Amino acid sequence: MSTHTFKYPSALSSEDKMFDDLGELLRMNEIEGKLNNDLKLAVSEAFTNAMVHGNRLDPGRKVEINITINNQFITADIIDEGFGDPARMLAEEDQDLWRERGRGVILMETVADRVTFSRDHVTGGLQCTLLFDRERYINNNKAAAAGSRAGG
Amino acid sequence: MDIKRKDKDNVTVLTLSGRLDLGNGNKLKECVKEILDSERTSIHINLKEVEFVNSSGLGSLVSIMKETRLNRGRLTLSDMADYVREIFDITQLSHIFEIFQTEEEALSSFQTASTL
Repeated sequence: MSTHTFKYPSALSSEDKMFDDLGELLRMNEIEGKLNNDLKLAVSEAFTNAMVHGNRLDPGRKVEINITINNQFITADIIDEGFGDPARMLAEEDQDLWRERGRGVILMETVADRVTFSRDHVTGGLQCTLLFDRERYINNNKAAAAGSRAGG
Repeated sequence: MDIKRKDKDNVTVLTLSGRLDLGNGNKLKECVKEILDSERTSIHINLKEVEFVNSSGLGSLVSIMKETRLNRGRLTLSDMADYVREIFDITQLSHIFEIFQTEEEALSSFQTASTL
């Protein structure tokens, strides 16, 4: 098992750095394909929420990302220093297709196996925890390969 | 993200590459605003080299679509990678965007529309 911690100021320029760090971590751990895409998507959604809504793009407030990787699961904790209410996070989505915001939680819930929001005891900010079950991706890959053999 | 622009007859084609996220979405919105301000209202966006899009990037595309329609224009998209298309489907945005397999198909649709 390995745990990796990153901290970023809440500024738009941190997006590039976060993607570079996450991409390198996934590459070093040979996490590829759909799991790689899903992790980047879910972490980026939580990261943007933390920077924009939690820390209100105040560079003095940090977003911390802790990623733990083992053979069975990958978890990512994204922690801000803001005042978000955990109870409101899962209820934020509306159904207007023309809205310009409010799709982040839907995407996180679709690609991750579990998404939870809680109050971080250290910063007092919001903590989003994402869990990915690596077995699911292995099984999906096996099913896809079997389907391709049956079809071909 | 890199944005390449070319004009093909009355259609302005933007070819994007890289990530479409919060910062880059703002850049794209500014670029489209300039195009609309120059009274070119037929816009096609080729997403062939877009490797990643998140909800902020989607929000910028929705914003662009709304601006284009307010200017009585038309916006089309094409050449989405499978994963990008999946994100459009999850969020149901494939219902409100005109999405073509290729840029050529999209541009043909503008020509067809102009002859009707």
